[in-house]
Amino acid sequence: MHRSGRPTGDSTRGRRFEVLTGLVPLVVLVIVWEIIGSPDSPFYPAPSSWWPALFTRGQGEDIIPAIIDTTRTFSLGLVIATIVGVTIGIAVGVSARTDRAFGPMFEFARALPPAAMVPVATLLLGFDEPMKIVVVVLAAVWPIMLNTRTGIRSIDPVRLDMARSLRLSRRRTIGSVLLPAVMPAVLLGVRVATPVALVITLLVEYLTGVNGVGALVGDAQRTFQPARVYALIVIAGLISLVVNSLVRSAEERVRRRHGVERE
Amino acid sequence: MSFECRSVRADVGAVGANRTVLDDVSLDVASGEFVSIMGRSGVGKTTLLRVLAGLQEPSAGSTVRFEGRPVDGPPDGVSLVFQDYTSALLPWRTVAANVELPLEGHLSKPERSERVAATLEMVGLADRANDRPPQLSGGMQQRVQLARALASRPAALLMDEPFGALDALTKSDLEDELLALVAETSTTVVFVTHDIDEAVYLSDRVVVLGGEPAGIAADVVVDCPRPRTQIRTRESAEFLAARSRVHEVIFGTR
Repeated sequence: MHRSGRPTGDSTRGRRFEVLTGLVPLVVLVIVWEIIGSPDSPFYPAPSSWWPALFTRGQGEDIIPAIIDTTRTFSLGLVIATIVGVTIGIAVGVSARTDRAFGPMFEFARALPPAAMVPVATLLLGFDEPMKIVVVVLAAVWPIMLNTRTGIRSIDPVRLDMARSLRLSRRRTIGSVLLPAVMPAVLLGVRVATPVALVITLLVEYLTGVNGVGALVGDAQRTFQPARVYALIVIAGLISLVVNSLVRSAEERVRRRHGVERE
Repeated sequence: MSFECRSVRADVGAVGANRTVLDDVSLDVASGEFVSIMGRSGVGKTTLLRVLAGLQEPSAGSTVRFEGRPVDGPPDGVSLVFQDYTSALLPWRTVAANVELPLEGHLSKPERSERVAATLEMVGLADRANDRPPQLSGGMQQRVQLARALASRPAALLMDEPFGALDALTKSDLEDELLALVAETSTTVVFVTHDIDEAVYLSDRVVVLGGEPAGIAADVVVDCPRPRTQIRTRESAEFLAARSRVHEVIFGTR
């Protein structure tokens, strides 16, 4: 057996190289697009025309506030979905009776397409930020709730016996044993819910025209500015990339703390 | 008297599909006594321990008392040590924070730190206080569990095959450490094991469960003097007599 393990410097360089290889198709696509597309095409305007299109006719001032709006709706929605999802997940996870009582209702709510909730939400809450957040929460809460429930159920019975035999109070059992034990499951749920929340944020903005990048996309589409549409989509993609990497690194940290990385 | 059991009967399994595992078990454990519970696997040793720990309710008509008070739920002054240290310890807490867990909400912060340091010193893990359990060997993790159990200064320790998952050398180390700690703190111990030598070496009495549902098949007194040592004690006539007696009860004379 040869024992020349690669030095770490080499392997990080190797991984970085792999990431770069992963970008090749995207780069090729953009280059091909640039070559065959023209700035005036109504369908496929060349990528080089996208960035300037953001700022034509004094529209540049809308971009930053729109990004802030979208990010705020999305993050508030995700945070509220996490709090609600974890609370419900723990409640139905620890008690089979609660699970039976609320299970069918949750199944029904989960099966509703979030887009179908938009008209109802606008009726009840108006064209405003709370409406957007409610729709995002309704879509993003399920993966978090289901993962939390599964996480609670898969806690080893010995661990629960331990908490009982140490005569920990209910509050301390939840805070010191249950919550930390389900953290990896919760974060997995959050990671699944993150793209959902972002998609729904953009969708609601697009459908209702209430602020944000999605509303600008709808606006640009209706006013025949394809280059601007693509530019906004790239911005949405970048927001998603940043948020995903944040969630992923948080998940990684928690998993390491739980000693799960030895798997 | 530490534990008193009168005609204890206990079922395991779901309601409707349950099976009676213990019937008419009467057992007294005196304060400071070290009693082992033995028997073939599935005989109900762990069930009996869970009943003593207040984790499982015995059937109607059973009486279980700890220090004179009826047991309904985990009693104050009783600590439990599990075989499965991986699940019993919290991997996201440091060793010190694991030991501190039962003290939180009962003692002030400085009192807790002092108690934790003293207890870790007792089990020889003072230098590993800031490590997390998964970084420790199995024997060390079981020491952490022992420290956590002792941190609340219990009158009685209930131990469910605590050394069952450890290698023979570590096991023999921990047996002696346990005897020293128990002697020092005059703690009552009820110890479940499937190892005859271990039961006899550690105990004042070995209680053998047998039958289906199980009752007490034998109550063997071990006459070896204390302090005990791995070589001397295991060579002594008293040890061998008690060992043969337990063996006979479990396997019959063969």
